[in-house]
Amino acid sequence: MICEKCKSREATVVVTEVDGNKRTEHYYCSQCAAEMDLLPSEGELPFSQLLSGILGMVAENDTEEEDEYAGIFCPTCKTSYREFVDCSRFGCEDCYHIFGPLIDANIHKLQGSDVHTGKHPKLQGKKQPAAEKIEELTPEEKISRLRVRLKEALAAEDYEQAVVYRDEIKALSGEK
Amino acid sequence: MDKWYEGIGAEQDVIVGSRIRLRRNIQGKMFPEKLPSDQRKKLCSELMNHVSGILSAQGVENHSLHLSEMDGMQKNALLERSVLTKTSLRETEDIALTVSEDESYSVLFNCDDHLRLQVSESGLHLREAYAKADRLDDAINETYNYAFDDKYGYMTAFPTNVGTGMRAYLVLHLPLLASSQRFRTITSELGRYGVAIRDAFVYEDKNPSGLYVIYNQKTLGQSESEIMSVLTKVGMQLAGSERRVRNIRAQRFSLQNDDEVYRSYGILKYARYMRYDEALLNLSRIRIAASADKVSFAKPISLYKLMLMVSPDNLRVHYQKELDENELNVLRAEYLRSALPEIVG
Repeated sequence: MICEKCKSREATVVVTEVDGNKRTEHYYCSQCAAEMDLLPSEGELPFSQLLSGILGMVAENDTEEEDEYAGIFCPTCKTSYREFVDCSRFGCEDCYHIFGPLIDANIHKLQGSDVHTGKHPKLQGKKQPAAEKIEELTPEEKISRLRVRLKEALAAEDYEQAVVYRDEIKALSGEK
Repeated sequence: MDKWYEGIGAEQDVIVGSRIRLRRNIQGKMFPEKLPSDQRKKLCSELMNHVSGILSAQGVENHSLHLSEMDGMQKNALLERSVLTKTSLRETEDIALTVSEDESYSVLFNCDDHLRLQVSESGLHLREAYAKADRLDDAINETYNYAFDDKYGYMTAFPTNVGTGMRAYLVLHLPLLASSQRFRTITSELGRYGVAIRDAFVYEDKNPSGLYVIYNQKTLGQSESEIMSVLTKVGMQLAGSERRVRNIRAQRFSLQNDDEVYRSYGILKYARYMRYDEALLNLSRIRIAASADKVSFAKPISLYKLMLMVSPDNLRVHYQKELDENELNVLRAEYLRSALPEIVG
């Protein structure tokens, strides 16, 4: 596909414009996209915008899912799911544990992989995973996070784990 | 001190330079965008002192400065030399830079991520550039733990950079290949290897310099070494194609070729008024001839350096004043007349 703007270079950037219910796709080469300021910064991919596009679309098509995710925010830096979708930007390392699982499929699609195989820091202490922080949350927040995990487990066909989440949700709902 | 781009490197007739960028964040600190202002300031000066100290200990002369201390033209000039990024121009609060005197090392603090390490080398020396960046990376890691996850790798503000946090770049001089019919097909194929290409300089939608930059699109799921291998292979393929076109042209159109080179030299050496695109085009033509030893100069000169230096903001910084379009064209011609050595032989 050829870039819509310069009509000479190969289009590598897809921009989805959403106006009410109308969705228009635009195809640009990375250069024209950069000139129109559609890319985050020099030498980087339009990944962020693509990501918001994809996540935005998911949210629009599936309001139930949006409602479910809407209450999710990062306990450390307070980035909300909406903010994350709009900016495609993590606010802190804990965001990866909060939003990461929600977008693993997209990361995989766009990066071609979802597991790091490169360098590991040589002098790194073992750190606490942020998931532990779930204990500090209110029951509602816990439930909403658990629902996300349940959905992921179902998507991954990990039914054993799904049952665990389902039971936890049940128990928490009972507690309320 | 000579800058890195004045140096000599492998495959330099086509591969002008190599560059490695690593993005890192400090464990337990929110990324710069979310980090409260006082902590952001503190971390910025801590990291800056630390990195500057490491470089000095490694024998790399360097200096540091806050972006808020620099004026627009200085920043643009550094952007044109790939030391700064566009993001760092939009926002400057508590963003700082440590740069070595030869500009081969540059480290940006608090620009999207806490650290962006960059090492540039002349010619095809990606692995050497990586080795230097890696050493600096480890030295910083001796004091600071990085935000790292076994699954996601180095955690960066944008998911675009997650994993290795590394982007590798090659600057290629492909003027003849780029004017061939095949170029569009070739560039559209690059995506298949996870490599992207863009023009190094853009002037009114054209790229008269014939300089292109290729870089890895993906940062997750491939090791640093794999990323560099693929980029090197692609770079060498493109270099091979460019050389074939150069050779065919030199054989079949020898007289026209020579004539074109000397005309370009004449324009650069004697003109009194020179547009940016004209300078880039003529420097590009001479660069092809010089890299094949068709012309030699009375003293060594990096034509890539001249291509960088004739940009509007680098000229403004060189002449230390605000210049309009006309003044720029006059001083660009003056700069080139004095910078370009005589041709010998």
